[in-house]
Formats: sequence, C-alpha cells, structure tokens
Amino acid sequence: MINITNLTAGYGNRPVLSGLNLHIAAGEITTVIGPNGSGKSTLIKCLARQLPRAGGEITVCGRSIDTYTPKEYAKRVSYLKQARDIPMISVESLVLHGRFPYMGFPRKYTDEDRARAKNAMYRVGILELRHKELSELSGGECQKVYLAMVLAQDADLLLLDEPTTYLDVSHQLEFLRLLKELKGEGKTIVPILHDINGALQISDYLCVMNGGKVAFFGTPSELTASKIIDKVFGVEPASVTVGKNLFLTFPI
Amino acid sequence: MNTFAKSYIHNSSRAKALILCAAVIALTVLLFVSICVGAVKITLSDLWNIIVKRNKEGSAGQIFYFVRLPRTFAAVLAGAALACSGTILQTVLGNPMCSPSVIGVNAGAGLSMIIVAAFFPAAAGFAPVSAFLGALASVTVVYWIAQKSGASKLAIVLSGIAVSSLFSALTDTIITIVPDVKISRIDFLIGSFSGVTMSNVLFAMPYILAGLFLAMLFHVDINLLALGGETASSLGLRVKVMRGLFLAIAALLAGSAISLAGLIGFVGLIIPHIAKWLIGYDHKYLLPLSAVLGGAFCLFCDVLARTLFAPFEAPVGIIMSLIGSPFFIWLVLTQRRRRVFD
Repeated sequence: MINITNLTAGYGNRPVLSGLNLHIAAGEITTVIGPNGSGKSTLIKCLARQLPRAGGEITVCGRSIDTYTPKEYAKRVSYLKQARDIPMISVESLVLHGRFPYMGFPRKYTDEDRARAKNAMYRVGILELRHKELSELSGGECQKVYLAMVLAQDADLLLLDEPTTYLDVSHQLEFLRLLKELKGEGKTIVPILHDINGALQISDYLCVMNGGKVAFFGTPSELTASKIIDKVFGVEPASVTVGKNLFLTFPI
Repeated sequence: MNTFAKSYIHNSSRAKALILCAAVIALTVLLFVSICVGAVKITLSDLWNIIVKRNKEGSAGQIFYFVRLPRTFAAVLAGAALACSGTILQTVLGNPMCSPSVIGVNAGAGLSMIIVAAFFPAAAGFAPVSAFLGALASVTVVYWIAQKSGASKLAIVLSGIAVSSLFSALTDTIITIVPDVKISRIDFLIGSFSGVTMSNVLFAMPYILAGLFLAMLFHVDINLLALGGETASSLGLRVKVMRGLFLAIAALLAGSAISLAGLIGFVGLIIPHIAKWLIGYDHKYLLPLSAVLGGAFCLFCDVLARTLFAPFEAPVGIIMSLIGSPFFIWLVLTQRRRRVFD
C-alpha cells in the first residue's frame, strides 16, 4: 500500500526525518508511536502531502504520491490532523465537507453524500448532535465530528494524527474498536497514538520512531520482546498478559 | 436514514431562507425610501407617472433618472460588493479583523484610481479596472508579507495597516501635487454617492455582479478554506489556487465599489459580522446575506446623509462611521455571549 524510500523532510533548514524507509501493508493497522519530537507527525504529514519532502520517494498503491491530483488523493487517503480549527458551522455541515472529493460542478451534495455523512455520524456516535454548532460542543465531541468527516471521505487509507486526543477513556476504547471495525472493512489505518497499551491491542504492526528514524517495526509481541520501549522512552515497562491481551505497565 | 438527513437540511434552510427574505424586504423598502426621500421629495404618484406612464419630463422625472436612481443603485452595489469582499477576506485570511479597509485593499484601489485620474485622465472611464488592479496589488502585497512573517492573524492586520498607510500617503501626495485631479477630494477620501451617474453604475455593475456570482459559485470551496489550509487540502481542495481566486474576487468587488463610492470603509468590516451572527458561517447563505445587508446598510446611511442636514449633504462615510462604530463596539462588548468573533 505505502512504500517510503529514503525519506528526508523537515521544517525550514531543520531536518526532522532523514533517510527513512518504511513499508505499510494494505488492510492493516500500523500504529506510529514514539516520544515527543521523534518525527511521527512529520512522517504522517509527508504521507498526507501536507509537507514537501526534501528527498526520497513515497508511493501509495504503486503510484508516486506526486502524480495524484488533489481530489484523486483525497479519495485514496484521508488525513486527520493533530490540532484543528473549530469553525462555527453545524456538525452535519462539517461532516458533509468530507464528501468534497466526490463533488462535481456546480457544487451540490447528492443524496448519496448525505447518506454517507449520516452513516459516518452514526458510526462515531454523534448523530444526535448533528443539529448543533461545533462551537457548542466539548473538545471530545469536536474530535468525533472530525473523525466522522474523515469517515465520510471514504478513503482506503486513513492517516490519523493523535485521534484519541480529548477523548475520555470510554470514548478512547470505543474509538479503538471503531478502528478495528474499519480494518475489517478493508481500510488501511495509520494512527499516531501516545497510548501504548491501546496501540498494542489494536495494531497489526507498530512503528516506533526515535530521532527522525524508524527505531523498530514489527508486531505487538515482537515489540514487547524487543525492549525497545525502554531504550526509546527511557522507562522500563513490565509485560502483563490478561486473557489474550498483552499490556505494558509503567513504573512511577 | 437518508430521509432524516434531508428533513434536517430542509428545516435549517427554511430558517435561513426566512432571514434572507426579511433582509430582501428591508432592502426593497429602503430602495423606495432612497428614491423618494431627499432635498426634493418624490411622491408615490410621481413615481407612478415616471415608471408606469414613462413620463420623464418635469423636475421629479429628471431627479429620478439622473440623481436618485443612479445613486440608489450605486449604494446597493457598493454596499453588497464591500460586504462580500469583507466576508471573503475574513474567511480566506482566517482573521475576523480583516476587511477591505483594514488590510489596505481600499487604499490600493484608491491610489490606483488617483494615479489614473491625475496622470492618465483620458482613461478615467476605466476606473473600476484600475481600482481592481490597485486592490489586487494591495491584497497580494499584504498576503505575501503575512506569509513571509508566518501568516499569523496579527501579521496580516499589521501588514495591512502598514500597506494602507503607505498607499494613503501616496494618494494624499498625488492629490496635493496635482490639485487639478478630477476627483472630489473629500467625497473620495470619506466616501460618497453624490455625483454618481448611471454610466458610472453601468460600468461598475458587471464587475460587481461577476464577483458576486463567482463567489457564490465556489461557496463550498470557501467553506473548506474556513477549516484551515491543511484540512482543506486533505479534502482535495487546491488551497493556493482557491485562495488566490478568492483574494482576486475580493479585490474585484472592493475595487469596483470604490470606483463608485470612494473610500467607504466600515461596511466591509461590520456587515460580515452581523451576517454571521444572524445566519452562521455557511457561505451558501452568508454571502447572499452579506450582499443584501451591505446594500441595505449603505442605502440607509445614504438616505440619512441626504436628509439629516438637508439641503446640505454629509458624505455617507461619516454617517456610516457614526452609526456603525457604536454598533460595532456593542458587538465587541457582547462577543463572549454571542460568539460573533470566534
């Protein structure tokens, strides 16, 4: 699905990623984790074409990302950025924006657009908020509205930069379950998560970033066996297995 | 599921349509008032004779065709254009303090018009074109400076103020060193509809209507720009192209309005806020409401400018500031409750 070769990128004269190589398989959840400033968001921004590359190549579905038109790319890849504006529009209007890549000229939403927007709102549990203005909602509710917009976009690849920010623990779990559901529908999902245990539960693969490079890439069980968390985060977790689920506990 | 979604949109649209209808009715009433009221009154029976019986003779007919009609059209067109220009600038630049006057668009248009009037008087008929080019130059310079300095909201306003001051100083210099310039200094600098002819109106009208039409055609795109550049581009919008297009539309609207009315400032700042307060931020409704309210506000102020000190006349820009400033201060003071400036 995604092939990254020798990627170099950064902000101004400050390189954040240098010579990064990565392959992300289709239909899997590949979670990016790492300490602050390790280049997670920079990587996702490059994949989302939000940040120009200083070098290297990225292909999605065998095509260089530079060869897609903006609408073609938006149909293929959706991106939820970390910090978002809260415009003063209704929830439904914002979710409908997710259908922009499918709009022709003149600009008019079709019945299918409205149905898909409604379905997206239903899936993230905000259908009852559809009449409300975004400015009336809590941070967590706004987060869900943006998630619904991304779902309405109906792209094959979802790039989610810290999607569980502002969500309380029950909504975080609900969201992680939703990601697994989406994976079941064939979507490829690349979230950035700070919740390592959440990442262990839902991910097929984990990509641990450190200092602008991929410090580790593998399955959750390979990660816990690798001790890379100790090295990258500077803490020594203990592994705990509850039923089929593997958790890490961190000392205070 | 689908039916439910449609019914909500219908209900919401109906409320917004009602607000738009109320604004159109207010504008229509003001149109009649503007035509009838002034130093010389035109009665309804005069209007009947002039419009239905096509009787152009007599003082009422002359005043109707050569004074009231052009100035009424000019006020509506200029108000609509400036209000929409302000709405577009506020969204595209992501700054509620933006308006054609604040970020130097008016000053650029004014300078360009003065240069043409002073040094190329034979081309004075192309006032809207020169005003558009001046406005476009201003907005481009301000946007470029703001981009270079990080595109913060403060940077946009500060660079706009600086560009505005520079262009205003150049305008004053030209007016001072070329005293024969064929523009009424006070009327132009403060803004006035006196002396507007129907040929002025007919020349500016296509540019204003084209600008309004283009803005409405791309109302979804400007809604996306309101989400911020990154989100808009992730949804497939060509952000740079569309920003450029909307800035050009804002310049076209403001430039054409200034060619009719001089440097009217306040309408482009205050009307977008009132329109957002009344109808929300969906540009499908916001742009038409801004246009109607902008036209109505200009007409209302022009009627007051003609009647308050009759037979003398105050420049409409003064009346606008006298009415608009207290109202705007009230809006600012109540912003927390109303969320007008969020």
